[in-house]
Amino acid sequence: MKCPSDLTIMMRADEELDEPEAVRVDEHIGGCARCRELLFAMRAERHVLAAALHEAIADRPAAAGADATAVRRWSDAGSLGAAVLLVVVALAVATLSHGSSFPGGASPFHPSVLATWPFTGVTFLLFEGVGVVSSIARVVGPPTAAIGSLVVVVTLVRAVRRPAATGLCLVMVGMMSASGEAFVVRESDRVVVVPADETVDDTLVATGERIIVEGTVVGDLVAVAAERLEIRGVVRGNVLAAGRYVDMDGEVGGSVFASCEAVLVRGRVRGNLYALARQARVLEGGRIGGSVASYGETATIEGVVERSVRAAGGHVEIAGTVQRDVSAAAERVTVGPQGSIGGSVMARIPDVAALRIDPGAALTRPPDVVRNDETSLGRYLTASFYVREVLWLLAALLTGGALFRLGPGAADLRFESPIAALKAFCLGCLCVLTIPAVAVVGIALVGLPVAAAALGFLAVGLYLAKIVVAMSLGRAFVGANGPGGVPAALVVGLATVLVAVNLPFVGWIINVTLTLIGAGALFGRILDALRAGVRRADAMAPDGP
Amino acid sequence: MHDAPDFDGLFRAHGTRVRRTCRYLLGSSDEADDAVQEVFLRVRQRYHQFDQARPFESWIVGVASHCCVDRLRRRSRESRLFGTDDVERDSLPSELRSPLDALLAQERGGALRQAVADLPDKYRVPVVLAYFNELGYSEIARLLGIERSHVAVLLFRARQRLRRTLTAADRSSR
Repeated sequence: MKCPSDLTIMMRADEELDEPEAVRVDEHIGGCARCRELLFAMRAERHVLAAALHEAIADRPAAAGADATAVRRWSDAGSLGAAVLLVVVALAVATLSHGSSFPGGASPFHPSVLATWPFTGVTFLLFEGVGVVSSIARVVGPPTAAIGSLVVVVTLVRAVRRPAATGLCLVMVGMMSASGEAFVVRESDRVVVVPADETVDDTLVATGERIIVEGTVVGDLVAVAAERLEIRGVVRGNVLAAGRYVDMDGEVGGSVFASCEAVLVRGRVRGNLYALARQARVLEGGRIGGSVASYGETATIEGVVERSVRAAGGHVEIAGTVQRDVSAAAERVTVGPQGSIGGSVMARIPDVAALRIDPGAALTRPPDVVRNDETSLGRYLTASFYVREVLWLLAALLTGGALFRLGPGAADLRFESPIAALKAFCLGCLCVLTIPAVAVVGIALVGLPVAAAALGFLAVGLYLAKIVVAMSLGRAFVGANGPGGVPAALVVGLATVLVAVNLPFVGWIINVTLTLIGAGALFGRILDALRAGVRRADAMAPDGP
Repeated sequence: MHDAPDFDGLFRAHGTRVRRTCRYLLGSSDEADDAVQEVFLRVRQRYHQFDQARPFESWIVGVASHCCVDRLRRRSRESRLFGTDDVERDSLPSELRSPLDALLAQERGGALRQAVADLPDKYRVPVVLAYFNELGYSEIARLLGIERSHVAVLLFRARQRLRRTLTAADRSSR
């Protein structure tokens, strides 16, 4: 149903719609945040109007009223500012007090620890999830567990009563049943083996402590191994792997996506290698047909990479051949005596001494070194920096304009207190950490399209996050009802965000914090919309907020 | 058969409400004084029509409303005082998306009452009837002799005007 007119919503607020239309409007309002807010606003307005006419509202001096408005306007900006400041200070304190004393990789903020979280989450859910549930059942006793399950089921049934949720469930069930035949599933507590003489004609989804592929998998391989995944045979498609160790001795026709403790490539990967791993290593004899993208504690190339290497983390070592560019942001970058790089070398490092190039190494051009502390200041002098930022601003303006036209609910996101902003931040962190893990589990349970949709959803959310925060800030500064309305508020907000995220030294933390706050607020709004169906009866109570 | 009521007591008890109704509906204190006298006169004359099962206040306020609407009709040279400009009800957009911001943020009853008083008759009367006298759209429609849907449009426009006035006042006071 398209949104009812504002007049209709006013009539609903005045309890003046006839029964069938009121029901239609209520159904719509259950799923439309914008209309719900308008209804609440109209109701509140009606109450204010009635109270004023009954002289129940005391007169305040004009100046005090204006102050109250200003305070309310500024509360959003103040709350966001306070939350960002708190996160920045917390990160700074954590880094200063612990960062240096943590043994390599033990700091919770270290890239290698962050990199293995998806792996930890997936393996925990898969191997310990059932155990945790049964342990809880043992501790609380079967009757309590049964009651708990009943509550969960009832909650779910109430939640899916909404047509949208029901539709979503049907789609999910449909996809599960449809994709159920599209792949072969092998599960075991111990070892899953595809023997040398076997060919799996489909995508193989395997979970177990150890997964060994000696034969051939014609489709993709999706593997979650608590201990180790070994590919000694051939996988013609892509490999999506979560496991402690991923060891590739054989041949992979597509790309490899690995989230694990260590990924070792001894064989051949025709596509790219994407490693979210503490250790990513292309060993001697190993060959990557595409590029390597690694995010973790160490990235070591001893074999051959036919395209580029992009690595971020603690130590990046090139002891083999990279036929194109190497771009590394790390604490240490080493090019060994056997190292050979066909393209450019860009090293973003703490200081010049952190780049060691052996005299025997073959480089086609001198390395381009950017010191971490120079990065934030030097870039202000380049034209490309300003071009990029202006492009971002224009794109964000267009996207923001479209977003607030299509879903005005997003334009009304408020951060009324620092706590609200911090809550949004925590929800944002939770989403960023869990959605990839859920996506990996989703691949195993539901199918690739759903996992891709989940990741796409996350990516869109992250992109929109700063725009949403900018809108909130813009409203705080000029008000959505000010001259120029929403576009003006958006421009002012985006400009503010742009400046804040480009501040030297703290800009990147502000960037991450604002993104997480915005993402959290957006996802919170989506959760609210889903919950609204269940709470529709309450929402329709005459004394709404 | 009704008992002889204590009119003086009733007028004392409800005088304030009646006077306020008249003042809001007529938009003028001087005219309101005359109207109140007329209302009390009508109440005495028509007391036999009062249904004792209903609250006296709503009846007397109803009499006051009728009385004021009659006065407004007499005052206005327009034949269709509460007519609307034949606007499709669903084509009316809200000019200001957030009534809360403009209205709630005021928290100034005086400013709001003044804004109501400044509304043209055709907008002020439905607002007062709906939000002060708490009449339903149908009752207002009967009272003003217009369609129920016109009542909704008049109220909607009145509220739009109030928001606009109050937002402007808010901005100029900052």
